[in-house]
Amino acid sequence: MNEREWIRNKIKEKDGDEPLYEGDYDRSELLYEGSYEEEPFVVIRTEEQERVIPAFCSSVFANYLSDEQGKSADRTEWDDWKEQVNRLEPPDPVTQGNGVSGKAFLMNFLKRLPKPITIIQEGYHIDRSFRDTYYMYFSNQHFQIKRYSRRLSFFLGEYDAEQFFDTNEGVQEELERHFIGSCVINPLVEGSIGRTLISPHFALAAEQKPAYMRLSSFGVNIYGRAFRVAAFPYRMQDEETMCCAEVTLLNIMEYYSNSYSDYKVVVPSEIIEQEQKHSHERVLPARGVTYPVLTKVLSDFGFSPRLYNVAAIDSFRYSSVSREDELRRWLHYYVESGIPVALNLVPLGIAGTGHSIVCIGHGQAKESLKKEACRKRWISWSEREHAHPLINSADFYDDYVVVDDNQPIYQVRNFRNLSVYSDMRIENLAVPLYKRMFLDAPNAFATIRALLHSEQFGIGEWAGDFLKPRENVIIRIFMASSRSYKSFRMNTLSDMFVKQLYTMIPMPRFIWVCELYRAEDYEQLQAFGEVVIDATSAPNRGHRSLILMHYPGAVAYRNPEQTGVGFEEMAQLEEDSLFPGYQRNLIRIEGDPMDAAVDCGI
Amino acid sequence: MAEYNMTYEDLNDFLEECIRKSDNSEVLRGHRAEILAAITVKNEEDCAASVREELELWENQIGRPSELLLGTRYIRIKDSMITFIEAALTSGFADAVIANPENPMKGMSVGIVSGVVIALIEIFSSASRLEDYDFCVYMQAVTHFRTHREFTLEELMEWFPHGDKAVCNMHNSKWDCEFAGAGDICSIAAHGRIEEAVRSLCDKKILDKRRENRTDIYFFPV
Repeated sequence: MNEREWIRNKIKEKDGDEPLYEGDYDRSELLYEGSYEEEPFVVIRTEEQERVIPAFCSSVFANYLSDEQGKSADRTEWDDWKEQVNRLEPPDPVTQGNGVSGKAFLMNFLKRLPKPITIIQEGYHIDRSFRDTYYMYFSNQHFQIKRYSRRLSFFLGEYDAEQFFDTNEGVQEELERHFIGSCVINPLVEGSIGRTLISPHFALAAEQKPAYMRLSSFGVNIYGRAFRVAAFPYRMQDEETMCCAEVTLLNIMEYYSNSYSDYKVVVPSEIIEQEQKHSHERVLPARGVTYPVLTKVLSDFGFSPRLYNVAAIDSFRYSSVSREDELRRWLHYYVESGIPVALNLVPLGIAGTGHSIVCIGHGQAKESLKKEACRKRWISWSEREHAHPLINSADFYDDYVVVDDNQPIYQVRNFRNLSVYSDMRIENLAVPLYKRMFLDAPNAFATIRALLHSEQFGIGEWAGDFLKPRENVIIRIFMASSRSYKSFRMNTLSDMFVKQLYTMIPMPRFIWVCELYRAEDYEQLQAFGEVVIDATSAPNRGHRSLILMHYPGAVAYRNPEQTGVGFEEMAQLEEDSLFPGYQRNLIRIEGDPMDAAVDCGI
Repeated sequence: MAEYNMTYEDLNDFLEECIRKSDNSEVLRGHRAEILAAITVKNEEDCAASVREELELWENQIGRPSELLLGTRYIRIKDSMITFIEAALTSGFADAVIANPENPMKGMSVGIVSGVVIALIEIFSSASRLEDYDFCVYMQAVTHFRTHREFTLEELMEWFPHGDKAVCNMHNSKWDCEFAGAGDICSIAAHGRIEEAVRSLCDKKILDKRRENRTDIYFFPV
């Protein structure tokens, strides 16, 4: 029995002789034939999705590279496919636990999207990174591989060519609002999902919302029309030119080059070239990259990266904060700063292949973790009798948003289980820092913590009247660009004098900020104070890193030429009003995707 | 609950204060390096190596004090453990461990490392791992070690706040206790939680018991 007959029989078993859907068509033909391959506009409606999605995915992946058994790429998943036809549902790549294939990725993604949707296909798409790997590697192989990729672009709603090419402004605006993103399909067995830019409003499952993530606004030109989508790049590894670490590098570099003019656009061959410089043997075909080499490559591309290894973190026998807790805190500071972090996962206990993913955001704070965080609150020994204990808001979170080529795009997963493989734990963090971010997160935290319990600048001295004796204070630490920080404060502070003061204070390009909250105000993110320290400073500067402190009733700051520890400039405030916590580093993804069909404002 | 960062200098001063409060100061002072090493030992897989390193460091430090070393190195420690260590050092409990330093870490190769350090580490570690209310009960027992090396459940209950004297003697600003009511009134006994904790401590071999005249006598396996 061939596959076509098998599908036909299965449908007969399921439906009997009566067709399930309107119209007298043969579903087996639609399931089997590559009927959508040449169709530039494909509409998927709710009532047809069970038929159209599998058929469309079959078309997209038909005629691709054959594997060593002589089957087409999609037929290597034939057993899975039979199961899918039985259920007419795509498999859940997350629960499958074996990573996600290109077809499963696409089916799962299409199934999750609200309907109706229109898919616009570009059959002869030139994808920069695939074309680069093609000429670097695939064109040198004996058996032919296609040069062109296929690009699928997704729109919420039903559109045809006439509407799409309509120059009416109203239609164009609607199309722009309803643009979900695009996905490149490369003609390969592995790594068939190429550069993918999808708005997380549509891709993130309802149960994973709200989530907070770092995105960039990408331009996508479809048949001559320009669209924008707020996304973080995703792609799969082809296992020949790119393994997980190269994919991590490419995604991070693509994010940075798209967001900041300090970084250049990087293609896979440049990554391979840099890797080769730091390797004692060939790097093609790709066999993975160690994290020390990964950070070296990041340095070559203009970053000043930090590499943190979990085993190098001090572990104290009688403390409730473990090494993993400390590493998670550091990760959180960076994620809260809007810096995508490369994570190196390794299997526990046994030797095995590691993995590399990117962390771009975090999930929701949890009540259970807040209680636990309270137990881990920090008090300086010297001030233990009267200090305000510091509760670290980083301890409220243990879900993080990851971009992992083994999983569907944007997964919110627990810190202890970030991979689909349950035995994998984080071994290294590689943080691509800007060249003048000298003060890293652990040192910034230590400096800030010492400041907050110091006699001269501490909470007790400056907010003692505002707080109850020994009242807990929640701290929220992150890095921000001073430009964005000043703009946010200018728009959100209520007192005109304080607004002006904030904008006039000289600051370096990047600053570390620690916002202070009373426990009852954290939910609403209403701070009563904050300290700002210089991210271009060094750990040994201690209190001299302080730029600004804002406590109830007073704002004080230090000018760049000031060498002493104290403040030369101070302003007394008449009001002790709370002010909103900074929220520009990450974008909150929530609500119904239908409501999210709006500009994300990046 | 809270965490302290203590420099080695803070710790040194803390120990000195505990020794001063103890009835057996000379014995404790003679083992200062071992006690400090037991507190500062890292949570490494190779515990013996960390113990050796810390012991050597403290022995050197006691012989040739270095302000630089004491001021820069630090530990992070739970406030409950600081309270426990203080209780163990001042109640005679630590003295008993030092006098009979059997290595409870069976099967572990400790090489030249002092048995006193290993025994203290085991005591401190087992206390650190306890659930809150097991810890509270254990703490009461350790605090009364000098007068009651052995005790009955009735005696233990007597040490807890009850009746007219219901004010918690464990309570401080950092202890979040679900049994602490307004005015520091403790209701742990009323909830039957003490019996449960004693059973749990015996299961963990932190306390031992024997039957005598139809009464359970609890004692410390030190």
